[in-house]
Amino acid sequence: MGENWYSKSNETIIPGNPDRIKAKWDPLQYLNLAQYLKVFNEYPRAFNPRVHGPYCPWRYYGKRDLHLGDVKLAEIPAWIARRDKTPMGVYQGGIRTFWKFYRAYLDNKKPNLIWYTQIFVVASLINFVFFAMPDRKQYKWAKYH
Amino acid sequence: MMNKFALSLVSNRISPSIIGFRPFSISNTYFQSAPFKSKTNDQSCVAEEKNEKVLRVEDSLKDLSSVKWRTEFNGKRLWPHDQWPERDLVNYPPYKLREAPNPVRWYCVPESWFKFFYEKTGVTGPYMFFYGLLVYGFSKEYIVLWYDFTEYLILAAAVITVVKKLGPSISDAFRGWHQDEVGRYNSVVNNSKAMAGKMLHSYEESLERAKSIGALAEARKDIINMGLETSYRERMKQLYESVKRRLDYQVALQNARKDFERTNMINWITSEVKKSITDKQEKDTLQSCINQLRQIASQQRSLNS
Repeated sequence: MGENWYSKSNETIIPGNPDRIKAKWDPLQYLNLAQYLKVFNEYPRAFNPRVHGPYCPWRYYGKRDLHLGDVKLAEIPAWIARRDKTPMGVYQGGIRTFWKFYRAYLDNKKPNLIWYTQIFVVASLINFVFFAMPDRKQYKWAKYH
Repeated sequence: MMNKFALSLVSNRISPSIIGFRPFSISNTYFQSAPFKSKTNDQSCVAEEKNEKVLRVEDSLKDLSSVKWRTEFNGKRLWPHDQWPERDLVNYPPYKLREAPNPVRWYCVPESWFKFFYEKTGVTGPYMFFYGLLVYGFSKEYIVLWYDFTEYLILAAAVITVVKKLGPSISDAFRGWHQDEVGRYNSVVNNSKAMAGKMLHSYEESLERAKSIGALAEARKDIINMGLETSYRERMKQLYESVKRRLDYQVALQNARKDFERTNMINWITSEVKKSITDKQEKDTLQSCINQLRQIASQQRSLNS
């Protein structure tokens, strides 16, 4: 090691300095899978910490566009055309959706089980629409409605 | 990701911490000028940084490694938005932990949907939509009424009643346990604060008592002085009484002498005079007195008539 490891004036060699500790907390970190996931592990192109501050994954940092509720029915195709439909854009949108859900129901001081109920309801709806309804068509009481 | 960003704000090189300067760069690991080589031991877990070059948004911020940003000025901590005038705090406000989750109706439908449809359909819009969907499903036989339908109805009723009755109490229990755990950490600080306050109070009390010691000493001095005065006055009184007693004795002595002389003289004189009175003198005086009386009586009679 360098100078006295117990030196109080030289802050870089004080034991416990996180910048100089390279031992990892979790053994899985030694696999270093982040090098293969670099594409997914980057900030968006439009993020500038000098303007936006610390990164919030639930936020869209591009140019502001209309909310879906404020868009007129005639302008919906144009509105959809403005979206970023590349795989990277879709991936980032999905990540943002998840973080919005997290922030809405889990990132607070008084959480409850609404997030669980919503996932349950959506899953049961998917099951009903795509699996149960085709099954039940055999057991219909009438042929024409 | 956030960890990396936070790490970048900490210095990676040996720097004097006397002044409040820190070498700043967006991602310190990506922008390193001459790497500092210290005497490293191979057996330690402290390793050198490798120069990893990755093209990022910070291409325009290439030479930030030489820029030094102040972390404090005049003893006050400087924050990034103090030094970055282009920080947009209005559209991108800083992160704040929320107090409660988004409000929700029927435990799964968010309120924002109800607010969105309020202008177009009013209050009953979403309700009519969902009940209408149900009725549509029944009428068009998308929801087939088979034998398990009762099961689902009863299940729904049971779940709703259980959640409504036991939900609040269970949530209170969980929050209580959580609050106990949090309180175990907070109580350490609060107890030390309270103890510090109590010790300060006791120190202040002792200081006040120190002030009152002077008053006590003065009181004791006053008591002693009062006793001295009392004894002085007593002795003065005794003195006065003794002197007066002696003087009174002398006065009484003189008076007694004079009294004795006077009485003796009077008695002697009267006795001698009485002895010298003869019978003839007595008769003569008697006659003269009677004559005087007759005169007076005749005068009185002449005055009255």
